[in-house]
Amino acid sequence: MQDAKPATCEQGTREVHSEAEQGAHIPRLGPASISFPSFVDNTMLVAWRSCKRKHFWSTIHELSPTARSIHLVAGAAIAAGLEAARKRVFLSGNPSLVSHSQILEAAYPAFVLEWGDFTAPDGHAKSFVNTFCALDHYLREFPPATDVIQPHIRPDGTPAVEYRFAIPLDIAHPETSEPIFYAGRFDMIGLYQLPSGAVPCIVDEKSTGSFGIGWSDQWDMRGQFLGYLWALRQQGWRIAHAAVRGIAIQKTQFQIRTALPMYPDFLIERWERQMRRDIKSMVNAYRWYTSSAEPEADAENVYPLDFGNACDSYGGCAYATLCGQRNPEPFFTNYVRSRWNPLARNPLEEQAQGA
Amino acid sequence: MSTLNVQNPSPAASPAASPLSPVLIELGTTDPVQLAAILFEKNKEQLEMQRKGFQEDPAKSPEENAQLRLAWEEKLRVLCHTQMQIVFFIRKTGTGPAKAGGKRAKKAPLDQRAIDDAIFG
Repeated sequence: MQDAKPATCEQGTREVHSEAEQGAHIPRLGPASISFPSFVDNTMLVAWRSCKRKHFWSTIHELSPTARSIHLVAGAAIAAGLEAARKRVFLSGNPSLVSHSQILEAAYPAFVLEWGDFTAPDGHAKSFVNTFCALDHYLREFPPATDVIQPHIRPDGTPAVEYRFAIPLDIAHPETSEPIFYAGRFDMIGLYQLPSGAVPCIVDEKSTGSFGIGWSDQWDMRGQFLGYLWALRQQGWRIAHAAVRGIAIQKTQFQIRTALPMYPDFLIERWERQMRRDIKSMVNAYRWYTSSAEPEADAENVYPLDFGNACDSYGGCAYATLCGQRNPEPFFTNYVRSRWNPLARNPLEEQAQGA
Repeated sequence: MSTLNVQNPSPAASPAASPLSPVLIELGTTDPVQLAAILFEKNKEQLEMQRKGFQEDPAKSPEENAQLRLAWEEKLRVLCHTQMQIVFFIRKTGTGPAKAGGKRAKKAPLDQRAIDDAIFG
């Protein structure tokens, strides 16, 4: 009987190695290079739930792709422009007297500042010009002073735009033992004007390339909005609705749609329970990994790969390059260390180049 | 840095019937590619202005600094106005539909009178 030879797949690209050689080498960058965030947001929860390894790379190692996302840049720039526009109108003393030109004069600098030095890919619909024109179109369709959704005006007279929150949890940070915060930001606390009265809602503008058939329905189980509503309840608000304004930015036209999902109390409470469970699991995983005598071996137990939809959805996972390598460390140069700041409009704040 | 993108410049599409804005007349060009380059530079200028912010002159009085601040804000406002005129012109000539329904403009009609004159004298 012949000795068993290494098996080869039909494509001839892989060999089955010994058990000791299997498994990717997951290097630690050093204890100082790994950290657990003090602020957890919906993006981190989604990463954790979709793929533990994605959480490992993005949240624990704080790696993000070197290329900025056109979608994040355009969305943040629109949000900045809208914030400035709304403040211009509602801090003027007489919103109805602020002209469209004056609104744009306020919006444009904020838009430019947020867009920064970014250059959109050639031919992309979300170019600088097109994206600002989409903002202009939106402000013409929904002038802030007459929009059916009016901002909540705080006691100090300021509109509740760019609302940020950070709610302390009774979950201790694995390193500092301080409370971990659930944090985030959304565009506005609004009042949707109905004939029967004004309905309070959170308002979020979403830029997109096009509206699919299920665009309005996708928000019904949206953890992002459930989290916002939960956070507001911790601050004394009783809001159950979201107003989602979609802005489709296409090369030759812009489209706008509004969805108005409603979230019952039991769903918000269910979201909260799961949020707490998930963050506790993150903390436990981190403790296990950082205290392990063999982190490389334990990493696959603690931070397993999805090997499924998470790898190829939304154009492909940004960390597939790392997960697909026996030794991912040489490929860290494809990423930068960026601390995800859930309270920032564009949450990626670059710490230092390279990993 | 590369120049800003110009979406589908359409040489055959004529600008809207409305007259050019004084800003564009002053810039001396209606070529979308040149305007994109001008916009890129002005955006850069504005970005630097904003990032730097207004710098008070410690040698000047508060009243003088207040005037300087107003002048700085006016400069920013004028710059924004110019930039937006360029943005909307690029959009209109580059990607905007010439007619309702999103269809591109047909080529500008030939000057039949000029042709007739040339043929028949």
